[in-house]
Amino acid sequence: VRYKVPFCLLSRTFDHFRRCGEGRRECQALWTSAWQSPQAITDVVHPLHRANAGGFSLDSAWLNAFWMHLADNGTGVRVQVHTHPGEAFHSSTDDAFPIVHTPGFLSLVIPNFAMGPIGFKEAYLAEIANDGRWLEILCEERLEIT
Amino acid sequence: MLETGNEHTGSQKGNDRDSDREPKKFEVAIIYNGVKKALTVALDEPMNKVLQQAVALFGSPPNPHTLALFTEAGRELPENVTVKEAGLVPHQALLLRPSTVKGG
Repeated sequence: VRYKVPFCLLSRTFDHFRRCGEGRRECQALWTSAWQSPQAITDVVHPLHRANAGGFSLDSAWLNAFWMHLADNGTGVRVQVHTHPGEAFHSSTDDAFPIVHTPGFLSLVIPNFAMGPIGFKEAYLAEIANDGRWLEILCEERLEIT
Repeated sequence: MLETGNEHTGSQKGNDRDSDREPKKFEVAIIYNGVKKALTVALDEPMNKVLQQAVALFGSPPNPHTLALFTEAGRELPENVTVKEAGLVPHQALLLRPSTVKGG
């Protein structure tokens, strides 16, 4: 699947990262779309979480309510996006604790606490393979900014 | 004492009748990433089997050990009890989701 991501949602994602992370904490955002048209990303969700310079953790009660919200609205999470302090890569924690475990699910990591230019420059994209392993994949292969 | 005993006996019969009326099998709704699917469970079924079946409903995604069942109120359901002991009721919505989501 190649997802269409409106530039305004990408921009809003960076806004969340910069405002919440303040250039000194990691942060996460979730890109969702309707099950009727999964390719078209329609929303960016900023989850309730705790974070520091080295990681973040989602609030369990928030996740429960969000899971119900997705079911009530016929939407699903397609891409999890989070920041790193420096270089973008997929850590062992990122590998082990994603929000969705389904093959084809994407995880995008933005370097430098998202304080750089809005876009995928030096970003790292990983995808869950059928055997459960995370594999690096080019952003252009799975994400199209519209 | 006799009166209490009679009351106790009456109550027991009442419970037996309630138990007879209780459906042995019923459907619950499993929710994963915005998709809702029905699963039939039995009262005496262990919850770890229910969890396995719930995971299988969604194509058995990799690393199923990271997933758990939660009630709408956010209570994580233990795996070492039966459906009855977990308090499940017909048509209840159960959330299949990771216990922990984090990154670093």
